[in-house]
Amino acid sequence: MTPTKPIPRAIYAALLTTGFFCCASTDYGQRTPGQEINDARSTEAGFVLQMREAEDDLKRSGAVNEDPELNAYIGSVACKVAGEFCNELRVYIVEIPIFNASMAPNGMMMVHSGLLLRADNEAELAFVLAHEFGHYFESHSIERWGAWKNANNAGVVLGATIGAVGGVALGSPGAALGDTAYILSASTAFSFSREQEHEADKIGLQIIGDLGYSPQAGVSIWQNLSNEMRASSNKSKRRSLNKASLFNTHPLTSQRIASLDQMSTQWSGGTTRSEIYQAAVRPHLERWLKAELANRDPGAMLHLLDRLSARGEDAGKIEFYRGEVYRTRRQEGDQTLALEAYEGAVGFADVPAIAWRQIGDLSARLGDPAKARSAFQEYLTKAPDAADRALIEAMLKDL
Amino acid sequence: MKVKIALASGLVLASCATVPELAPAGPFQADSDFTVTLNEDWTVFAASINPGMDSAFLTMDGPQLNAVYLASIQDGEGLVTAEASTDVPQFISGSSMLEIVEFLTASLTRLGYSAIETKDVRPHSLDGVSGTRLGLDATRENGLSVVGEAAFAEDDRGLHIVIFLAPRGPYHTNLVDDVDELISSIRLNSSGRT
Repeated sequence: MTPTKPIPRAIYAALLTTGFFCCASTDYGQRTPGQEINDARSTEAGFVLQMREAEDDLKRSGAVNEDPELNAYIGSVACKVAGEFCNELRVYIVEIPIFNASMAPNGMMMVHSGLLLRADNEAELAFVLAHEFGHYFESHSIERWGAWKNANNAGVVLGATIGAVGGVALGSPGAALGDTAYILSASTAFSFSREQEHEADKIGLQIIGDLGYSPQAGVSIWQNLSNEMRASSNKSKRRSLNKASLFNTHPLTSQRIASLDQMSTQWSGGTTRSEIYQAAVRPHLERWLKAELANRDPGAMLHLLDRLSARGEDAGKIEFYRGEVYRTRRQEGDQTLALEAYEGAVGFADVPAIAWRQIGDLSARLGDPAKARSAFQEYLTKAPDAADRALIEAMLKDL
Repeated sequence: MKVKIALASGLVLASCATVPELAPAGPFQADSDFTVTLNEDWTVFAASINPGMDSAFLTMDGPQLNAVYLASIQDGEGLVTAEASTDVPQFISGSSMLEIVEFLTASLTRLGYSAIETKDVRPHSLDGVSGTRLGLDATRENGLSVVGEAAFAEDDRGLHIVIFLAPRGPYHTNLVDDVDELISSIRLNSSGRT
């Protein structure tokens, strides 16, 4: 998926250095648990050193979710798929509304909130993490890094990239878009090869199959993402279905999904652990949906909301955000659609109080002051400490 | 101090056509459709050298330590610089005050701020035009906690905005009164009055 909001530059650096290196020509082989770097001047050592710096930037970025329960749960799934490599992992849940995960050769694993929002169950999450672990196990990023270093003065490229990231802390916050463009252009030079992706898929499937998860999880998560991209309002996202996803790291071709489907026949049955997964992510659902709205892709988000709605849970939050999508889309008739969605949302116990405020604001503009007054009053009753209380009270006076 | 910032910044950006300049105490207008009165000297970075936002900003101690953004934008425009305007939050004329608050916070998100919270959102007139004022809490990409204030009002020329942001601590508190006075001093250009 193409990012539609700036990703913190610290995380971009980590992304770049974790997994965007393709065309491997140097075989570093498979890792062994506890494997150490003997030659401090080796390609691997230099790469890992820079990854440590990127990890330090990530920790300071303010984008890392520090909820202890969620971290314990996601960490336990990552540990399960990593098996005897568990002690080498450091898992970071990063609050980015984009479907992605990655694992660096120094053991830093990043799991995006956009992935957690979209995964239907633990099996799907486990597949993605196992896939990323597969890249780590096969030393794919170091192989790519070595190949690049042989062909170019890539150390300068990476150093410059991390330098740009370091500039996040020092540079103007306003520089975000410029650096995003720079990093996006740089990222096109780095990606795992199709062969490496296929290998990581095989490892991922092998791991989750052996752990007793449903082997169809690999198919379902990519199929859902593919369908969401097809529903996108963004032409470039729709076009990318025929090419690749974010930074070419995860080609989303139908062939890949078909290949996963074919490979999954080696196992039968398996669990998904849907309820456990959804209970773990539910406390974060509203924040993640709010972040998703900022991606400004109504087509994709409406598709996502339909899929989440089909689970039969969280209807108040889901319908509220459906209203938000319509309201911010601003097409003809969208105000009415938004109002209907908000009014549907308030029938559910989990609706955010702000839904009442939105009903009030829209009703006022649609010429229904009585409904607006009633909704604003309900909002202030449900959210007595609302940050915008004074403004709402002033709006009530004007109605 | 302001002279030093302007000079130092000028040296750094010597190869550029535009450099930060001294904004002397008194009436001041940047790239906006309003004038403010400065109680003392500031340094101004014109919109052309503000890489992320389409607005000028004033600073007392340096862009990372405090910045007061001054902007006037029209229907369909955004605060954030982007190749395509549809990539960033856009101001839509006729939006409610609540939606304009949302536009401001969405723009800050687009600039890379996270954990943005508004505080004490209240009615506030700018030069007699109904508007809104609010407090802001946010986190920069480097994890630094910032606080600030914003004020806006819409007239027939568009949306007029002031946003003050500074790291939590003395670089913020030392300027709170100055920014208050700056906001109170806003005079909208006469043709923009409704």
